[in-house]
Amino acid sequence: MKFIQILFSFEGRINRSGWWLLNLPIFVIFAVSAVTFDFPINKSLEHIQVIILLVLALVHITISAKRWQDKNKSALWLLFHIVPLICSVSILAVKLTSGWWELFHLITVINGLWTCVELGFIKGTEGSNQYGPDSETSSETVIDAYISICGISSIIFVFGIFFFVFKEGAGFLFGGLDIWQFLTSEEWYPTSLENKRYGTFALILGTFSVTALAMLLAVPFGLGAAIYVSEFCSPKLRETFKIVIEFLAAIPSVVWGFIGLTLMNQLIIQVFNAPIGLTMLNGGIMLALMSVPIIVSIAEDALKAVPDSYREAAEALGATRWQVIYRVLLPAAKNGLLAAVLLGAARSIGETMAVLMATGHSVNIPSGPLSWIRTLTATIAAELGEVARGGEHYQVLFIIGILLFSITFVVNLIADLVIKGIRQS
Amino acid sequence: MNTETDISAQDMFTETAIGKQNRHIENVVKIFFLIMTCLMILPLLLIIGYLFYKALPVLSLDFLFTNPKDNMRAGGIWAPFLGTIYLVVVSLLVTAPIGVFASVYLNEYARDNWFTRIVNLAVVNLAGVPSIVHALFGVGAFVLFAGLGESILAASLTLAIMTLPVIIASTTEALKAVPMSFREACWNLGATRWQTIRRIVLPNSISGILTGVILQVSRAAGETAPIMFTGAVFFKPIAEGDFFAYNIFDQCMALSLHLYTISTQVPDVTEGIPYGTAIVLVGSVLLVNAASIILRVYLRTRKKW
Repeated sequence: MKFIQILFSFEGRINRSGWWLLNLPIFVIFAVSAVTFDFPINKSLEHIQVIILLVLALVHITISAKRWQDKNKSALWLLFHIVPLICSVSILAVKLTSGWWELFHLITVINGLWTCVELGFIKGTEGSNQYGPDSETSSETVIDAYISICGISSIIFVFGIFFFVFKEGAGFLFGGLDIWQFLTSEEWYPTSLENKRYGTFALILGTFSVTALAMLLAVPFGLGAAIYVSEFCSPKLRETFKIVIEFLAAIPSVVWGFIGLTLMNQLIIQVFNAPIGLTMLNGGIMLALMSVPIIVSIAEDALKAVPDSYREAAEALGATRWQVIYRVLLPAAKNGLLAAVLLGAARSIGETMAVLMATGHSVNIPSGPLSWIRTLTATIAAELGEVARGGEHYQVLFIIGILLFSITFVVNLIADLVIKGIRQS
Repeated sequence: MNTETDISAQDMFTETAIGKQNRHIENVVKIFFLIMTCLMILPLLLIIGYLFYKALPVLSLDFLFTNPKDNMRAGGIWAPFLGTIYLVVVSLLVTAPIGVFASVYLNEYARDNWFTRIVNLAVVNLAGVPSIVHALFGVGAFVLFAGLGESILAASLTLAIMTLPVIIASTTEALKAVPMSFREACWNLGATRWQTIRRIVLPNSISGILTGVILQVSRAAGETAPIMFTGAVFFKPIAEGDFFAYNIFDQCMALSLHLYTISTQVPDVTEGIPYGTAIVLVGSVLLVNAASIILRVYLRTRKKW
């Protein structure tokens, strides 16, 4: 039986677990709708909500009919569902005296419990009956459908993210924003009274310069560590290193920002004799430490994917370990290493809290590692809380969100294609 | 390397000059890479040590169980601590079933076609979306469109979608580790696909799935950006010692946001408090991670195949 048939057809049979699997979510949704009657659910969604509830009620009726047929009884037994409805209507419409009221209430409860036991707990007839073949595995269709829905949920979420961020920013993006100025002007004055200017060039430059600095630090160390872990380590030491790298990856970004704000700030002031240590260098070091775990783990996977026969062949020709690495492994694994660097960079571009706290937070064209900068992500995080909903400034922040989403989407897509390329060759 | 044809046995086993040079190079290279690896590990120890050292004066049980006081300049971290627990638990309840089922779909149901490739691509991209964009999405979808307002529920749903790829990735790994022959044996007995998954695949990969769930917890606990505008607030005192002090339609405090607030927005905070907050945050995240690692190692030792 197809899932659509299970949902909307009055023919055929369904077993107990199928009935429960479909009914439990329906019950939960009805209960939530009843409880949140006064809750400020978006009023413009009200008619959609009503339609959904009606469809769910229909599903409840059809699967209950199939459940009766599963027990070789006519779907007309469904009429018993009307009893509580009659009771509650008469309680509301006719002003019943208290004795009747309680009697009707009792009837409703008993009727509910009885149908619940009858439909939810009593097994259907074995083998086929006049309504269709055995229903033993009919619940699997429902489970399969649920699993498929979860499976495609990530697509829905990715589209949802793009849709909702786009929706909030679209008004200003197509009506009033000078996109050329948005991308190339370095004047970010969103709160200026007479002349608001939304130029993100300095922010884009900030994001890319701090990412570049982070990659400059993280790539050699990350690849070096990956080579050591994959080629020189004993298995036990390798496990230890991997655990440490996992720990490094687990430290929350706000803690990295805090370290940048306190420890690294003082270090930079002392080492470079700078007036303030919250600079691009500070943010770059924090981002490097954050993206190194990704680079190491993906690069190590790539090195491990090189067949051992390559190493053996090179060593049999008298190559030293270093020659094996330099001449054989790195060229063979170059796609995977490239993907590792790309994913590390994507992580740096998208990172928010660490750069918000550690880079000085001033809109500025970066002139060197010790200059203060501000990134795209930090701008959203710092300003979204203070703008009026729906205003131009608010919408510009969402447009920056679209920009960020697009950048990381492209970088991730390229990394994914590069990795796919390895698997196919 | 030695091209002469009449080498004596003696010559064969004495080290040539080139061989010696190679050995030296190899040692240098090895040490060089070792240093690179260590330079990565050193900061971890240094940071935890530094935080712990600075936090030592304030660390006590009282610190954990009292609310921030005096405009957050003194007191403890009870309200943010409980808020983080709420956010993590609610997001876990949402994301764990979806994530596990999604990866069951990708591993056991999906055929190798263009649609499956798109689903996989979506998972990869979901993992790559910047956390602040998730925050914007949370504001647009849950706070405004669904009308949940800034609430624990809205923040948790945002966190749930953000951490979904973590669970999908580790569950996929766990499911892949179950040998194909197990499934084939089960199918040959006439079991359906779901029966095979339910009786064979899931029981044999449950520890791996749990590892992923634990990692989700650690990830969700540390995130700041996604909850900043969807439900977490700077200050909201609650009843001390009451574990049910929040309602999921309320706003809450969160450890990560609290750390950001007191280290950047509030002047004259008592010296140790930000460090204390940071070490509690790092400590709980690393403990949770350690639990997942221990589980994984334990699982590997008792694996039956």
